[in-house]
Amino acid sequence: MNLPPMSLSPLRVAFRYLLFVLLLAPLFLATGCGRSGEPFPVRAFLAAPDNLLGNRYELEAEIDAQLNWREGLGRIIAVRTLRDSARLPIFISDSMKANLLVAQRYRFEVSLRKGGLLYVENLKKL
Amino acid sequence: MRRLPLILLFAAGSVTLHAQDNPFGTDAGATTGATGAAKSAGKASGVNPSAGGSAAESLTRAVNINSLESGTLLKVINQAFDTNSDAIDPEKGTMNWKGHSYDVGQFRVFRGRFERYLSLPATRDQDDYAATVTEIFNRLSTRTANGSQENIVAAWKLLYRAAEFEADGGNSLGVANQVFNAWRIRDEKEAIMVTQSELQRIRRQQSGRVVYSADVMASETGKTIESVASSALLGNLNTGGADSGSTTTTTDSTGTKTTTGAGAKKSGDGSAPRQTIGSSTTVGGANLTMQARDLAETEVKIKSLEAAGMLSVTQAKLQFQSQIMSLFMQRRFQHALIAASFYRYIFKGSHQNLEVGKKELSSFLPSTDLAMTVETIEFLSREAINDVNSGMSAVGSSYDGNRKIAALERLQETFFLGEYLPAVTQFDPARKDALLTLYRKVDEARKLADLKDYEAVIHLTDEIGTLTGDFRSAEVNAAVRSAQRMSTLALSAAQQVAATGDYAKAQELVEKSAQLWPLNPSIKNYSENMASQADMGTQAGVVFDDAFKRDDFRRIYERRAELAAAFLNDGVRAPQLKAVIDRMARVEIYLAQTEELLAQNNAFSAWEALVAAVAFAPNDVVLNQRMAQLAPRVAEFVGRLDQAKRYEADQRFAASLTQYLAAQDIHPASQLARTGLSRVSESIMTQLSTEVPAPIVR
Repeated sequence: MNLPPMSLSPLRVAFRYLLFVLLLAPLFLATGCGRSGEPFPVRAFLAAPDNLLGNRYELEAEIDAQLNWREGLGRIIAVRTLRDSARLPIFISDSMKANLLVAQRYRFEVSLRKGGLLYVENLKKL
Repeated sequence: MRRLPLILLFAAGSVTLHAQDNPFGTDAGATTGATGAAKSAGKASGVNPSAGGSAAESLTRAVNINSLESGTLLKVINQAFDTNSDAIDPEKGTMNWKGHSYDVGQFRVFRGRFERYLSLPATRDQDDYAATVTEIFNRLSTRTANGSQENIVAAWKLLYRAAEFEADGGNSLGVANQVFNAWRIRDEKEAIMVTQSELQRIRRQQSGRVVYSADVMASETGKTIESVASSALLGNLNTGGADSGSTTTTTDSTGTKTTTGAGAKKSGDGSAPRQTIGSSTTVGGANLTMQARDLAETEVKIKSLEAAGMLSVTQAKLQFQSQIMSLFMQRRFQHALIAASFYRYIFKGSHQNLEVGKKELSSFLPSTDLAMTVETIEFLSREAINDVNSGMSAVGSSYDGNRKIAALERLQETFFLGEYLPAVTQFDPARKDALLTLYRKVDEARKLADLKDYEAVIHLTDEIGTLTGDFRSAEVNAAVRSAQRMSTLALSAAQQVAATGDYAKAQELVEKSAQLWPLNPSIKNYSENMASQADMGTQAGVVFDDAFKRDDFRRIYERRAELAAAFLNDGVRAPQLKAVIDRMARVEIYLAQTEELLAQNNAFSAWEALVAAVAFAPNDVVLNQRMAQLAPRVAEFVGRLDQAKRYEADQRFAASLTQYLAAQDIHPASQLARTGLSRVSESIMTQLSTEVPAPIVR
């Protein structure tokens, strides 16, 4: 018996979308929805920074102290990672025109450059 | 320092006084040398302008001026030996009395005789001898014995008895022999006089015959008696030998010649003789000639005997006078008196004038135009005896007044003159004993002063001070103390000069010090110190060089005091030593700080302190031990720092910065981390400024 094609009601279609979203929502939340880069491997960096050269990471950290600043060039900031509370030095170029204060938390997009310097490519206040 | 000018003034005054007072001149050379040294020291003072050097030079000058108190000391002590009298000349070995010098031989020998005299015990013989001599004097005295021959002979016999005593020295025997000799000569003279009388009688007879014959011949020949007699005496009468007959001339025992025979008879029988005058020959003339010859012979004999007698007497007189004079010159005044007394009795008044020794005797008398007689010797002998007696009275008086040094001086003076006189020889033995003890003590003090054993001198002079009241102990002690001070002063100057490195000058001053007081105990200490310093200097050089080469600063630091003393004058090692000491002092401070921090349980700061100390002494054993002990407690921190340093060294500044931050996390107060962060961040900035990274294009 051939069944006559059934036409889906709009309500039923909406229901199906909702169900799909509900099913994918935990997965989305679990994988960090909203972060674009890989988290920074602190332990690996402290052990062998050379192995990470050229990589890009995302680092969430709290501003600890400004170690150095040269006008027109940028500043070296010591940040404490939120995940494992390690202090790391990062370089923030003056071109980013960031206003940084101690204890502020940021998400930094960093790249490892020559000498193991964590160069901040982007930052976002948390 | 304020006292130095006073010392200098005192020392200079002492030198001047000493130069004037020194009777022996023994220290004159030393004084001259000292003055010369003082001049050189004065020159040297202009060379060294430093304060230490000036002090040393001042001391040197003070020492070199040198009061030579030891000379004064000897002078004081020698007082007991030098009679301080113009009668004694120790250098010439003479003793002057009444302007005449007695040769007493070497003064040392005479001093020995004086000491022997003091040590001789009194004997009974001395008394017996003195009694014998007194008896002789009594027998010879014109007052008590009236000069009888019996007393003179008795006195002469007593001389033999006196000669048996040792104290007499055989002089009485000499006098006795002289007297015996004079007496024998006198007896011979008497015999000669008898012979002379007989010859004179014969001469008168012969003379009568010659006159008679000449008278007869003169009447026959018509010539004068004088011409005939003179021709006969000259032998010019020719008597005709054939007719003259024989004549015989005999000589009797007295030497008188008698002419007999035919010729003689013919001249007497009145027959006419044939004779010629001049060239003629007659028998009567020959007879006359013979008679005249006999007469002449007799005359010669008489004259010869007279001369022999005179010679014997003169010889005896001269011998006797010589002996008297000899006894007087030998200071045997008693024997001179005895001999003079005998002389007076033996020789008559006209023989009293001295024929020998007048010159010597005149030196005792102020006026030389006086007649020198035996009585003059007697007078001088009595004078000497009186002087000796009064001298011995003075000795007794001084002794009773507890002025034994003065007594000793007077006794020496008196002894020189009256060595053989009873007043001296019979001096109280107990007193002689006491004076001998004093004499020996003073002599010992003098010898010790010669040797400059000042401590012994002081001890001895104190002892002498208890024996007599007139020994200048205080003056001696002051002189000794002064010499000791001068010696110590010289040694101090030597030490100061040695400290400046002028060892030659120091040596000179030490010698000066030793010259002033050879037994100065400080000299021994100084020498030992100098020797040990020299030894230590050698050893220290080896130790330092070895440790310095191995950077073993700890070893150097532990011996820093010893090395500092040794390298005082080492221009190379001294600065190195100072640098090492400075470094190690800092290390010690850090170590002390570490201890304190560990006590506060601050291991990381303690470690940082140790790390800071390592910069000063990388190889210090103690430091490394502490670090090894502490390392386990600060291992992670140290690991971070070490890693940071290595990254920094490789110019991997970012990695280094990370490590410093990690270290600071461990020890937030870490100075090393802080400075490292500052340094490395700056390096990163510099690096970035030159290597600006290109912006990433999205």
